[in-house]
Amino acid sequence: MTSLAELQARFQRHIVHDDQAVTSDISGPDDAYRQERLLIYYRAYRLRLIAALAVDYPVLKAFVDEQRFEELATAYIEARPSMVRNLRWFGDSMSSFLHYDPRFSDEPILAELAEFEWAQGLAFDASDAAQLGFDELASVPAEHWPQLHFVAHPSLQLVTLQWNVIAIWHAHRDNKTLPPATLQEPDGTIAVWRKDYKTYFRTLDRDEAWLWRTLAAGTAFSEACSRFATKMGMDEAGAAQRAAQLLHTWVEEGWIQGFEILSDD
Amino acid sequence: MHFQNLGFGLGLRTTHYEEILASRPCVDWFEALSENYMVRGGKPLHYLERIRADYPVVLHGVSLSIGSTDPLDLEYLKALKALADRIQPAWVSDHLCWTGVARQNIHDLLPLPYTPEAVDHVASRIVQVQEFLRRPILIENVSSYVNFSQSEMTEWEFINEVAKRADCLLLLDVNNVYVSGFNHGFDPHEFIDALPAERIQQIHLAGHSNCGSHIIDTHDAPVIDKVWKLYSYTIEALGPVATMIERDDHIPDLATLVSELDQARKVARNATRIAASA
Repeated sequence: MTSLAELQARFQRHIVHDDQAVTSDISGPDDAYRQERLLIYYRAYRLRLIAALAVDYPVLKAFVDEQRFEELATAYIEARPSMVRNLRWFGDSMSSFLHYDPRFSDEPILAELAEFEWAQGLAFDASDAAQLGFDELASVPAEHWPQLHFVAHPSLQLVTLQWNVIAIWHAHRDNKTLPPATLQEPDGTIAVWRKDYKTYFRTLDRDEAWLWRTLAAGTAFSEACSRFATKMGMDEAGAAQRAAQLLHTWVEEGWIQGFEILSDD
Repeated sequence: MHFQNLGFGLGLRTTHYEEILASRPCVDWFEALSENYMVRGGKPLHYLERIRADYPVVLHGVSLSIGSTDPLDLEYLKALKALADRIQPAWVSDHLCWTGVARQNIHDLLPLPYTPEAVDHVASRIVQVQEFLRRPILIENVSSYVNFSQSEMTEWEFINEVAKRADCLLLLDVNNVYVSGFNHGFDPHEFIDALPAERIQQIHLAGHSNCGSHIIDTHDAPVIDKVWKLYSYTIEALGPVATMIERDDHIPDLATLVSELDQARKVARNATRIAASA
């Protein structure tokens, strides 16, 4: 290791682990002065990352309050040190951290709040892509519909929530007192997506969630409709009608980037 | 190689996107933080491209980590090059610092020891980056709170040596010179006088937080009088240089920043006059 590499390793160990070995590398009249100056970097590291997490997770922060958010963010910073160049991605594993860390896992709503807020961020700056229009869909010849595969818009995220995350999110947006955590029965699938540079979300009906997941997994439209009928206990015509209605909604909302017509062979 | 003097610019901040497009403020150019636009799509790139259609834009990064002893991050450089190809900035800049080792990112602009070893290391990496990006880059002096006992030269000697060896341009942050001068007890005028004037392509101005025993470079307040005076001194010495005001926290409305930028125009105009009559 070169002396520059060794010095940088010592300096970083101070910032991350409060290791004082680097003190003797710093110029200054005494150790108190050196430590005071080093403390600026030690503190700035945590403050900057906590501030970045607060930008990513404003509702989580409001739900747990300022002081607990600082504890939570500090625990995250220690457990998942940043390995990313762009601060944008530092908070990426907050939901899984809150889900598995014993200090927070007994409050499962925290992980769900984080998952929902992160999904909004993913939708916000996901890749740009076209959004399928009705004219384009109408131009598909009838004989090609059995082989029609839809491609989801890259901004679309699905999140499954067991807790009243959406009610908390709305209360936060409206500057109202946040409700306490409540388990929802049954759980809900939420879609988050972007259209015209604006991020939207809504709760899916259960049959809608099933059909969308089936199509998004790559099942051709007619095959999905057939399985949809069996799954929902509907006749083929009723299932096709409901599927067509849902497809209309999805196209309108911009969930579909386009389609592919794949032959069976 | 010098680029054209762009005049007086502001940092591009998300809260001002709509107003910039609607009111076309009297700002000559904008400086965009590279990493904010190294994303896949959506609003940030949409607005940057629209603003770029009306204004010159420069890219300013915080994550190049040119001084780190980790290998250069090729993925980061590829993303930066792709952004530069897309936006066609007037120039690209980053800081004379390191941001982490062992693949960890501290997300801070960490100081270097001013040693021949660090000069060799940093200069050779700037050369590699310039070759990769196929353009000269600007390297900015950072504010610092510690000096290393290993240092064998002053900060300005270090910058001179790096710039000469790498044949790069410089972004002179006048506020950072003031902050580091206060923190380390050197005369900021000596720093300015010693820099290679021909390499200074851009100037940064910003506010800071004075904590009594030291100053922290917070970019959250207006430029203070002493920094305006140092800026005037700099322009007297260098002549007109593209200048911009950085505000990263407590961001005021656009009109307030445009008015602070007018102050920069006034100070620069007077300084140029003083220099001409001297």
